[in-house]
Amino acid sequence: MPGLPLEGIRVLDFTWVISGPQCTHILADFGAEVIKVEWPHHPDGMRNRGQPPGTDPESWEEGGLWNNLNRNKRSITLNMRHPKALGVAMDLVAQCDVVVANMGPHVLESWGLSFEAMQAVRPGLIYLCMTGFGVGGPNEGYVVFGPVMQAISGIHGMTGRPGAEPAGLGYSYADYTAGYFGALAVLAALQDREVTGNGAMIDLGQVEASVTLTSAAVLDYQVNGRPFSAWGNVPFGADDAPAGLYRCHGDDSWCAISVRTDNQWAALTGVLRREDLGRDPRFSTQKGRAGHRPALDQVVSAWTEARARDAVVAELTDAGVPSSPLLTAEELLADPALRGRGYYQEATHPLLGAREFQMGGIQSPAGPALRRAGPTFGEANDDIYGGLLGMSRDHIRELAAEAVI
Amino acid sequence: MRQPLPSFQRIRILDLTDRWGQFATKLLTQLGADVVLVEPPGGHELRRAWPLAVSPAGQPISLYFWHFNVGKRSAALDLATDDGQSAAAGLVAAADVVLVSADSYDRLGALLPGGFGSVPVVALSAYGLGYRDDDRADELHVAARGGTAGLSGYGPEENSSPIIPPAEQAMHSAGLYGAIAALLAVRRGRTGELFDVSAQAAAFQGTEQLFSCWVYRREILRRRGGGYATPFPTGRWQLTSSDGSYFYPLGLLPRTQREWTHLKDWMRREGAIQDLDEPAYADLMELRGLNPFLISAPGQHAGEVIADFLRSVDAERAYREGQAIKMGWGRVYQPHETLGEEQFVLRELFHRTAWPGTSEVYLTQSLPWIVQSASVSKAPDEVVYPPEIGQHTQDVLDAWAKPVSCVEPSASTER
Repeated sequence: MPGLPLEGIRVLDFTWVISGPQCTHILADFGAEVIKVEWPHHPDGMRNRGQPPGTDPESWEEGGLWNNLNRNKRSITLNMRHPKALGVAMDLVAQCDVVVANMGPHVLESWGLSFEAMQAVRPGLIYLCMTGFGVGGPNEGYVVFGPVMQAISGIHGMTGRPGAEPAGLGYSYADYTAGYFGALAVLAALQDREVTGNGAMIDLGQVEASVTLTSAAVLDYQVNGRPFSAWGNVPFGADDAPAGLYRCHGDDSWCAISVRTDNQWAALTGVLRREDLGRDPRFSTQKGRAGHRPALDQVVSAWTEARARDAVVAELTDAGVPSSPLLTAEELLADPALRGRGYYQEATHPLLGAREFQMGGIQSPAGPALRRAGPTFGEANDDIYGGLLGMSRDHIRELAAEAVI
Repeated sequence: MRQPLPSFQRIRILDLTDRWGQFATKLLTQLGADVVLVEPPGGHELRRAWPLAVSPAGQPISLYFWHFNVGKRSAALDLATDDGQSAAAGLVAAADVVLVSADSYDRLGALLPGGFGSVPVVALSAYGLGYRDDDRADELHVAARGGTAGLSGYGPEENSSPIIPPAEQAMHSAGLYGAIAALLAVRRGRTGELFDVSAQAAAFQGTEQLFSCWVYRREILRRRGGGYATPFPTGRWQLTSSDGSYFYPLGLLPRTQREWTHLKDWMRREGAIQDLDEPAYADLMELRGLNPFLISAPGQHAGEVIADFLRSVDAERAYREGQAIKMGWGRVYQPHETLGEEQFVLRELFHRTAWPGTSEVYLTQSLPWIVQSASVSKAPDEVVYPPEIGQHTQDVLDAWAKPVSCVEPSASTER
């Protein structure tokens, strides 16, 4: 069986925070050699976020999210504002297939790393430039973070109860999405290069990535003149009713219930001991039930709120009514569907010890494969500068003394 | 530009997916691959999916199907017949990658004499092929069991329900992973490998701090109404502007002293500075504290004054003028409002589409990047269509029966 599909592909990684690192960790998980370039004196802010209790809050080595996002990568330091850095960076570019950056527009150009200059030393180079709104246009310089991208792309406004204030999202879905799109774009460019030999610059707008997720709502507005209206906890377009998340007994404890068929409805009324509802003509069809969601939600909530979540799910499942617990993080770690497919893999970090990692949405013989935990700061300087670029130890020491690396 | 890559026209993708795989094959179509949707003679189940429109001939049109199938070709096959099975076997054998649902994976695997043979398969399903749960294979249950549902909503402090993510997040995330898997499979060649994509795993992957906060700190994230899920209370960042629109000033306080100076200048000009010119509010770092979620008491007061100011301005102006001074804030738009955004118009984010046989042209989302490469040239902006049921059956059977090198690449959008 061959090795990982991206073995032999080398990526120079000028990314930080979430979207760019998410992109390059997918490439790394499938075998690419990813060299993460870090500022010597100003590391990625994620390096010291979310450390385990008791560790130095200023430490650059113990950030949990950083470790998860940057596994399988190597770390080197390079101060791109130092006059000697450009030559070093160009030597690195010459050895790489792909350069990825998620800084502002024109940042790499301002260092002397324009696409044209990089292609001159590495014909066939693929350069993925991830920015908020893409390069060019009136919004080019806008400052956006994940939740803001969600707001201005329309996704935030799609989340909420019908007719209520938007709830928005409590996490940076947009950053992850941009990272997935970035990985897809790089793979597409690599595939094209296999056929044509051509390199490419990919100018990826991260807000645009979120706009693509607004799905058929944009078409619905144009064709039917219908602005999007939030669906609450009913899946988009579904006639399921009752359907949604229902509070159970306990601290912030919830379960999902959805009734689609008449048989499921009959089973639910049986479990609730509300056969009278089963005889109510308003609820005798799926469409009828969908037209009376608030009344049905009230009935179901009154029943679930008095019971523990797991008891609710067990009783409904036994009766053939689709129901699921709303899983906590702790429960997700034990979830049989995730664990059974090998979603969690373990690697040992020199300071954080043995840790499990989230391995993404794919499982296959071709990866993802966890080869190492997140790199400590500049751990690969000797390997990359000495091994890959062939610098002498004295030269490396000199660059370090001059604060180039 | 955003045109498909010509080299992709030689990549044959057979689409036997259900709802979970539609975005994956849409992305591969947009990249330029020859994507053939296999439908039963009565049409793919999603042709009846909401939202619907009515054609000039009075027929229902699924805008959902339209959105996800523009540019694909359709082959209608009756897999209950020998002819249909034989044709399916031929298409599978000719494909570079087959994308399947859990059902079609089982069904075709059993029907075809050699299964999928050496053709790589990407299977997209709710929980992966190893954990079938058809009754709970929808966005609601996947959100509950994928960690996303508990992070958004109106906040437990408001005694309100969590809210599942919008616009089929799990399906879109799975679709992105599915398209990535398909390109890895193409790169890998005919190894007969199975790439098993789980929407639950894909959704959980994007939950940012949920996993690491628990694993590294034993902290539970709590959703915050109009805010960000954190282990501890934060400010409410969603505001209602003077025009009634919603505005999202992430974190409220700026990130740099320079931005703070500009923001105060703006507020002073608007008569909204209140007491923020006092020395206690001069140094931004004193206000922000060590962590953006652990803001000092003066910082919280400054945030309240900023919020008061933003409530007095209309959301569009707050967004544009705020961004002009580098405030990372945004207006909460509705999806259709992006159609008129000058940035997206100039960058041609949307491309033109129409329903077959109709003349009205609409806009739909393209891939979110512009490619600069000798491989792509700026081509005329063609109108792209979803296929009619079985529109390309014979063409596909004829073309795919030939080795790919003998086939002239054809634009899948031609009509």
